[in-house]
Amino acid sequence: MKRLGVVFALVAAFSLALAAETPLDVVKSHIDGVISVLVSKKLSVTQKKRRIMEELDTAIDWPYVSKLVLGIYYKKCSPGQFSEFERLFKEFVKHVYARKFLRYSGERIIYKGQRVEDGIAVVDMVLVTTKGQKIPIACRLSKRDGRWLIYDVLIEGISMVNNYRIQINRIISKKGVNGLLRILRRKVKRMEGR
Amino acid sequence: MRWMLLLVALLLALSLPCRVGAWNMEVIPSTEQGLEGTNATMPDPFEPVNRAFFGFNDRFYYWVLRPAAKGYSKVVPEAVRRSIDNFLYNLFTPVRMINDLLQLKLKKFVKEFARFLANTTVGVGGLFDPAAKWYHLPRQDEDMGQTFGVWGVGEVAYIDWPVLGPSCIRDSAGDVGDTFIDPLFYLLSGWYYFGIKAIQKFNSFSFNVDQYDEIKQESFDPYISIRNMYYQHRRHLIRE
Repeated sequence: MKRLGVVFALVAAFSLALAAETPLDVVKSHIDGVISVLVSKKLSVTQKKRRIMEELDTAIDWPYVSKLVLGIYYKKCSPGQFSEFERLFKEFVKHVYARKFLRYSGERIIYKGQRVEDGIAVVDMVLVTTKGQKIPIACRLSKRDGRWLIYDVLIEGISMVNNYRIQINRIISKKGVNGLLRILRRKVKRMEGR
Repeated sequence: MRWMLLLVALLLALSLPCRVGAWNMEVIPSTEQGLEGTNATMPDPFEPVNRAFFGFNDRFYYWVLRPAAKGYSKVVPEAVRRSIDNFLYNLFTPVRMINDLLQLKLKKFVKEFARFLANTTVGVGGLFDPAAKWYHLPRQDEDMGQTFGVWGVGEVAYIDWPVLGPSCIRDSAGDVGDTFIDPLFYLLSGWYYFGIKAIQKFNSFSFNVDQYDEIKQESFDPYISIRNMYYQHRRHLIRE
């Protein structure tokens, strides 16, 4: 009886700990992390960029995002092609978002709420610029090994995964997977040069 | 004792689905997966023509529009440009109010009217936007393209107009409709009206001069990217 009670308490505590980390908490902690880097007076711009890219590494479900943007062509990729695609696409998107974040000038984020359905969550936010304009932003998350990871970002209703998927599908259908990888390599190189 | 066992079993069962999710890693993403309309795209039967216009707009942006807007931003301070934007936005309130009515959005209609009253009086003829700042009445974009969308009309076909940029048959028809329901169109002679519209477009462009250049750097096929952004954004506005 006593032992069972302990087990029960442990299970309860465990599920509470899991339940405590809501998708909104996860998104907020990542955004707070990025903002604390951005407002830091000690870090140089390159250091800030590196730190933001590290945050993006852990925040986003990269294998899943890579599969989503490849869509129906995921099956046509060889394992080697897929791992190269994943590496390049991740690098590219990290540069794109780090650059967007680095333009931070005191914008505020208001968290509107979260919806969870079938292991997929949506966190709604509003970005308020210093001039007072409001831009709706949403994050989509899915659960991996008990952790919520971001797999899509929507700005004013425009899904990043959807947008890249449409472009990538067109390129693969015209130039094949190798054609896509060629374009990606060039794009990443150009982004790194900036 | 027994109910405790039951509770433990229940808790374990409840926490199972989360772990099952992890095994789905290798599942090939279907077209759903919470990405509604993922494979839906803007119908684009005129793509070759649109791509030609896109090429023209690209040159027009780098050679004319961007340098002109940068010069304009340097000469005219941002506060003044904001006021011009507010004033013109307020001027076109009747068009948004009529579209609210056509979509039977009565709450939005009343809010729009309240905005108009507040900004025309307290906001000195619309130069400022106290409605958004103090009265929690933010801008709400409505146009006849959205009205048609709410009525269930699809995009029909994408058009990337020279100079004017991304649109579709439905939204272009909406723009024409908006002109005809605008009282201002009848008060001013045609050229003045379109002149004001052009000023409004150019002035609001001056707040986001580099946006197109950034989109180009961030995309693999800028034409497809922008077409898709337009498509997603319009659908988002219609859903609201």
